[in-house]
Amino acid sequence: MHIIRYGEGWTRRHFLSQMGKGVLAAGVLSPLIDVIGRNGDCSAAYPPELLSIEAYTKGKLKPGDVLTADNVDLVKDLLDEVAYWQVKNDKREINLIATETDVSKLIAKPYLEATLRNRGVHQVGPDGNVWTKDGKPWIGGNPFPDAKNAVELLLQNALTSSTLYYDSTSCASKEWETNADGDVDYTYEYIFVGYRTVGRTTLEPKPYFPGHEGQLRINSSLFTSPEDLSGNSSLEIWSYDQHKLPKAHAFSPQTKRIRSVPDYARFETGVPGAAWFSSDSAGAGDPVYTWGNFKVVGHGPFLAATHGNCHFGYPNWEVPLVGGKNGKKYFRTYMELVPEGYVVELEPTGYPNSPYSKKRAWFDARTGIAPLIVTYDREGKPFHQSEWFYDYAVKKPGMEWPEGMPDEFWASYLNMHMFDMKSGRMSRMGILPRITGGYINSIDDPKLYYEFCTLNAIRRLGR
Amino acid sequence: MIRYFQAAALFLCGLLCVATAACANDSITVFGDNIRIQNVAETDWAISTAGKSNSYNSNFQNCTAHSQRGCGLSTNGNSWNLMAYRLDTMIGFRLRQSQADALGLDSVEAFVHSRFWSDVAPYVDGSLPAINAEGFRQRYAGNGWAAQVAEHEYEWDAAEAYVDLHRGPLWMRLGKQQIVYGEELGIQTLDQVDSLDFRRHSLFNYSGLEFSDARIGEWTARTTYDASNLLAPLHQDNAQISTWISPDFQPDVFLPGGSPYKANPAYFVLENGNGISRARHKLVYGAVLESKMFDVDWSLNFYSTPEHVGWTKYIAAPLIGGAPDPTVFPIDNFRGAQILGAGNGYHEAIVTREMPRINIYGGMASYTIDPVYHFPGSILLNGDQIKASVAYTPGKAFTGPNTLNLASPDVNKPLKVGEINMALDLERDVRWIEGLPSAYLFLEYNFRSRSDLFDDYLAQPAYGNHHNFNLAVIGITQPLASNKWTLVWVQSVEGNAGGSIFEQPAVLYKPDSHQEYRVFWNFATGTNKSYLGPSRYMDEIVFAAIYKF
Repeated sequence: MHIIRYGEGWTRRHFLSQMGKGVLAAGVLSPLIDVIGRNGDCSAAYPPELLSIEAYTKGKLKPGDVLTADNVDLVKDLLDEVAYWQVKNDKREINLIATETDVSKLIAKPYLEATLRNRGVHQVGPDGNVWTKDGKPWIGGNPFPDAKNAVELLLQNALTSSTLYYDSTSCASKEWETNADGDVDYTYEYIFVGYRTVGRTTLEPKPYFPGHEGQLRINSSLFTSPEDLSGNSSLEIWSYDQHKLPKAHAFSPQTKRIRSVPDYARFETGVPGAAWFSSDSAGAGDPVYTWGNFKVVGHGPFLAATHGNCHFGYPNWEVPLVGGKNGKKYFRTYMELVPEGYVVELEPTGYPNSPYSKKRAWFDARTGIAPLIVTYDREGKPFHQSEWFYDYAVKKPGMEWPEGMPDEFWASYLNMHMFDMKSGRMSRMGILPRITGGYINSIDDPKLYYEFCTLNAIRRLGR
Repeated sequence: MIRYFQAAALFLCGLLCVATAACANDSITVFGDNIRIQNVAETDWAISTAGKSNSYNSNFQNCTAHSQRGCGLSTNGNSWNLMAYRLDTMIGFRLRQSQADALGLDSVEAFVHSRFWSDVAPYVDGSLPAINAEGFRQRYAGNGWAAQVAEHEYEWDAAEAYVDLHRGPLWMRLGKQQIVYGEELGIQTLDQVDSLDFRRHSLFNYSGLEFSDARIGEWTARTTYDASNLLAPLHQDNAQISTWISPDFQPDVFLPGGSPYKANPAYFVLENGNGISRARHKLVYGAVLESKMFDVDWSLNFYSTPEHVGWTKYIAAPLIGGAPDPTVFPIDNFRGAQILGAGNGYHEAIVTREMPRINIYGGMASYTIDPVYHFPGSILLNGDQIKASVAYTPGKAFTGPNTLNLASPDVNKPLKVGEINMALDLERDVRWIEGLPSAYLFLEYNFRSRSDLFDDYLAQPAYGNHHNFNLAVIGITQPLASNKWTLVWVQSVEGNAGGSIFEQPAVLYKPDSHQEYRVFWNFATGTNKSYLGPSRYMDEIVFAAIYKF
């Protein structure tokens, strides 16, 4: 039994020791990627206290319990300071669930397969970008499943981004903007589309979309509600080079035409009431090398909503709410003990007037996903927090199942929180079965390119 | 036939508007098809701050009452410029995917924008004349294509009504639609496909809305092909080829005499019949190729259209045997003036417009300077967007210095000359302090070689014999925290006929998703012959309240 072999405090000492040596090596008992490569299960890489919240807290908390202000101090070291404050002071509640050890249920299957298939064929070029050994753009999956430093963690995240572990996704989303009390004063509906141009694992042609090898991905969005924003559409083309800012175009119903728009304004709220900036949308959020001073400042387990959050069983997929002054500020979320993660810190060296002094992203070592980000103001106080809620969705009776989707799949985007610690405002967002305008969600749909990801498309979709 | 079509289109609009009562701001699915209905109710109150009456509305005749001879359209002493109410209903339809697939298409969507607008200011301000919209708003035989009803102080139309058919890289839009190109803002360099309708509000509506509500959508068939994959080997990104054709030319529609915003003498009666009836048989067509190369967005544009403003002439030879032709200068004690000399009675002058075909050749380039430079002064360049647009129109017809000069042998003849229209834009976002969202700064320069924005030919004594038109616009938009409040300031400056300035400071407030409020001040200085000077009669504070449901 591992418990005997690795006694109390051993794992903590293990992680501290690795941090002290400046070494990252995922997996405590065995190299994680080797363990996952055997059968997709990560259990063999960790002692039980990292695979069970009950073991970790010595029975004080167990799956099925709810974190509240009364017991959150038991896991204070597993939460980021913003989530801790939300539970302790703003009546947020978090449901605890068992740790998922089957990694194929924590990430997109084609992505995981490509990660295992393409191990060791990458190189980081002199320009800092990820290339294959023969100098071509990356061919799919995570090139750094056994990341050795902060830059590798950020690069793999930039290659996939938080919503694009598939080759293409469309997310028919609704966003609720609340004040500090939790009262909703703005709602928005929009469809967000991501389309990968390199590192494709499913869509033909693969691994590259011909003529677009110099690009990383194309993002498109279309607002469908409320009326004053309805018809606003935009197109954002990300360069493969992680030094270059994306190029953006937007169609506005006010000007009735497409204009190229600056995409360097990474620290602005896009719509009234929103509590988040463009930069908050992924691990780096921006091209990696527009940030700097990368370092790993934490290594160990943490609590995150990396599975258990499928909301297809709720009416119109609207997640029950909890917390805040009105009891309706936060999604009720389910978190597990992530056995191993890295906290990467980075500073906005390329943005002289950034309101942030630094950003911290929590990476799940099992998948490379960053389900949690906290940014800090110029005084070093927490500013924005972003939390993503994931799940492996399995069709069950009574569910309003997403149209056209298989009976089970890993959902790269379900719901999320974006919270402004300074104002107390919250942006809750998540996908609905169908939004105003009839748009629905999809994964790996080849039609998304011409449907959403060209200038032609945003002109057509704009109203 | 067109009348029947118009009636059917309006009936459909009406039916769908009624349906909105139950389904407003919602999206419903019927047999798998999606119908979206959104409404906007808006009121715009404009209170005059000019302190002087609009001299174009016969006020130069020292009008004290509308019953006074020649003062029927006087606005002397008005407090209100506008008290408008409007309801916009947007209806979208998206065919279910299986049906679209059965048609061999990727998607089929339809969109209708119904617009009802009414100005009741004449009923609350006795200084304003009631204007018969049908009689004075330049309706002309054959404009049934406009899908519009305009009676007295209201109008109801289909601003847009079209169907989108899409398959792969090919997209067709069929129906009443706006066609807009160009990166310039608030001026029209490449935005020259559609004409403008100035009736619904001040010439200077809230700057952020640009021309979207004034632009006249025309019944058009447009096809666009996405050539981004096709031209990628030529280092072109996002290449698009578009072409369109419309049998529905619509001219610019101006404000009627008696409107507080009128900028032509009330005794001029614009009789559109002859000019437009000829132009309307002509097509509007064009093509645009747009792409990006080495991070420069560019386009090549070609439009062929009858002139939007046209040139103005008397409806007949103005003199017969040296005496004024009474068909051109009929007696009119209502709106007329003593234009044939004191003691010769009150007459109006009836003019019309000719709209000869013009071909417009143009292009645009736009580049964003990445904010990566660190040399001294680089802060001024980092993040700047530079946009240049240019259009050339050979043989454009203008109302020349002698076109309306009774004594000239060139009376009723246009002046034809080519014109260059160029715009340079510099835009950027600036974050002044960390705690405030970035401000959007906008600097624009517009050069036109022959005329101003209303196609007034400048090289004549009345305009100072200065044929170049130079306009500079500066604007700043500063959102406050959470974007609930936004401050906007726009200033335009031009240098003709002594120069003129227009300013519009504005405050926007959006407390929630349903409500929006705007307050802005339109303020102008300059002479009557300058471009912006006539607007000094229209100085006003405008309050707009908008509710979306």
